[in-house]
Amino acid sequence: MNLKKVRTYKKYSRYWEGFFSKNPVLISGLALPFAVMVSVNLKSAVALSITMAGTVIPTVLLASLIGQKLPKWICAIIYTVFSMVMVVTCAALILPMFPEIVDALGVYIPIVAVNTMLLWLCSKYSSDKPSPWMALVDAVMYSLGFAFAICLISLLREYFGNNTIWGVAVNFPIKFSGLQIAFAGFILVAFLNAGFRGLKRLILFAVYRHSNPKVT
Amino acid sequence: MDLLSEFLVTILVAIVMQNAVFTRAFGFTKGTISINKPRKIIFFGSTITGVMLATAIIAWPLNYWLREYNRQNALRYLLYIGCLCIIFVAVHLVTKYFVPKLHFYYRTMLPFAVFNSAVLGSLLIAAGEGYGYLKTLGFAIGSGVGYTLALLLIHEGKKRIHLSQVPRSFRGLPIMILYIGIFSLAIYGLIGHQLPT
Amino acid sequence: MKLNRYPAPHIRFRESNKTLMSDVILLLLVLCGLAFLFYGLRAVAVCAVSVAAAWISDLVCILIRGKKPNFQDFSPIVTGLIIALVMPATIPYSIVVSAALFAIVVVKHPFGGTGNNLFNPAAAGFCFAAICWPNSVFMYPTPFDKIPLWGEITVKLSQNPSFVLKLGGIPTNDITEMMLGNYPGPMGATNILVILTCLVFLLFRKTIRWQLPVPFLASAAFVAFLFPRVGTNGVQSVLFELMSGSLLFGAVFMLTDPVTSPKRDSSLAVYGIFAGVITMLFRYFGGFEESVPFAILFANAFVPVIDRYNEGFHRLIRRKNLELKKSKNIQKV
Repeated sequence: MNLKKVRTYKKYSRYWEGFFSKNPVLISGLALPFAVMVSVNLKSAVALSITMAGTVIPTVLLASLIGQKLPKWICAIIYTVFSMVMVVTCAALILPMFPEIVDALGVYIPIVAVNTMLLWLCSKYSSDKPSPWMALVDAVMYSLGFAFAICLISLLREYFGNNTIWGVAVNFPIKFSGLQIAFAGFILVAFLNAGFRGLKRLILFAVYRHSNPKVT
Repeated sequence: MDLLSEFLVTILVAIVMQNAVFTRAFGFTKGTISINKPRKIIFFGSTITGVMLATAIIAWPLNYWLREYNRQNALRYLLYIGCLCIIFVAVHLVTKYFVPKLHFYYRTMLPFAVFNSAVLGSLLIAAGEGYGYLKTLGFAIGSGVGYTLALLLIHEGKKRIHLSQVPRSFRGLPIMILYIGIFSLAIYGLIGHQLPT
Repeated sequence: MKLNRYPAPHIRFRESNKTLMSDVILLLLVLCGLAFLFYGLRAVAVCAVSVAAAWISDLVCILIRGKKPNFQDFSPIVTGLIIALVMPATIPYSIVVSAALFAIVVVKHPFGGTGNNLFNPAAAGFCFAAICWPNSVFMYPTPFDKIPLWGEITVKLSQNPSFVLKLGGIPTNDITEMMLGNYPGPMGATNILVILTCLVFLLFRKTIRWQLPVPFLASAAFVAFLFPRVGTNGVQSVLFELMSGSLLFGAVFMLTDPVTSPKRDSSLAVYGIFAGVITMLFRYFGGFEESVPFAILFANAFVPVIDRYNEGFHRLIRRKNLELKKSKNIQKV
């Protein structure tokens, strides 16, 4: 069994694991409330992705810098308050861009400050060997992965559920208006989650098969 | 009597029609749906309910007092997160010095129970809807109980799903999300319209 | 001793999946024939499209999962027929196809296909269609109208008595006409007498057990009798509630699905009563006039709970009995 190729693949995929192999929504199952409830149209998905990136990147950097020096319970408070300040700042920034969307998002903007993706990354980088460089890479990649996932889901829901893309009407013979409701978000996330898991397994298997040809 | 009936109705509505998990997807992640023992779920849920109630008790008067200065809800968000932090510190210190047995369990669990989207989301919804003091307390209790019951139901579903021959890609998290989705579809028959966010 | 754990349906006696399903299919075809009498060829076409969509998607899903297709398995046909029969005859074909696809692809196969699904596929398919296109699903043609097979539907559409009840009015329909099915409603669910005959036939054939539909109907009737929506006497309320919509059809064909119902007789009764009360609650406070499929989905989630606690309860009773016997024996000695 030659696992050299697989190991090399895993080593290099470390840098972009947040985008694909450990995608927060599509594979790891983090930050699911946003993927389920917010992704009704592309505009709100983009607005939320900006808020998420603007919150996660500085908070995780902060965690990697101060995480080791303070007790854990004080850290938890500092991260949450800091991330809420970032959320409020980002909300003020995106308000002129999408005024009606921020209203529609409602309570889903402040809970970005306590989402599991953020808490998980912070707890990961406030442990033994924090490296600010890897923390930055991971934060950016996880934010990108989140943005990719939520935009994909919202594109599907907006196209089939409302027959529009970015608010512009698109021609499609049938309109599944139920896709705009919460349950469709759950079902779509479940199917995409299963699909991406299958894809990940297939890629790993292909890499393995490349260096271990089948003996007939 | 009217106040009491309003309180009870708010609790019921928060448990069934505005259930945190099934209608708003709050506090539902890989971690929470993979708790594997009913006793642990009840412990976690009761902690969340207590935290929610305590935060509602101290945050509502402050929010009411500061409502003049609230611009774009920013102050309200900071106020609620501040109250959550105060509760967190209080629970941490009290259990550390007076109930060390409880502190042993709370050591790792408390941050996830306090800084949880179910807690913050439900409290902010009650604040945004402009509920009165008693109604807010009822909504907090109802959301916490509804969240616990939802996690218990998901746990039962998980046990039943273990007997099924689920396709490989769907095993684990995806099938649980699908289960929640179909149950959410059933609850939608009771709501019939979109909920306030 | 080796004990194997198997998922439902737990079929004892000489029955098999095939015989159970063919009994149900026979009765559904009778209802389909009645729909043909009332609404013409369009009804048959809707049924055929639905069955074809369900069967083909089931086959495709089985092939994708890498299993061997079993052509003796008639359950997708039952799903397709039930979905078609709870819809109006004027329903566009695309809606029926979407509902059937949702039932098979989303609700049945991810949970493991025939015998493993937690939720009733037909009920879920109908719920999906009702949420997406309520204007098409809840508007019914009058019987004996000429409905074209293709193209634009021009006949007059009207509401079911359940909608009148939802608004708080008294339906003006005649009770005898309702018994015979001569009023606007779902294709197969209006023929009350025929459905009751189907229930008796299924009970007689032991395809279903009486412990499920009878408590369901009884609890629904009890709630309707105690809290009449119509504002007149309780008996009238019971009659209208049970005959309007697809309550009776759901009780006979959807609720009794052997896969999603519990195992023991006593759990069946508990499940039936629970589903009945939930149905009436959804009717009284819900957003839609048609509540049975939603209530069935809701109750399906509680089946494992009912099964487990009932099993524990039975075990407790058995243990108590044993202890009693033992103590009596000791006294005798």
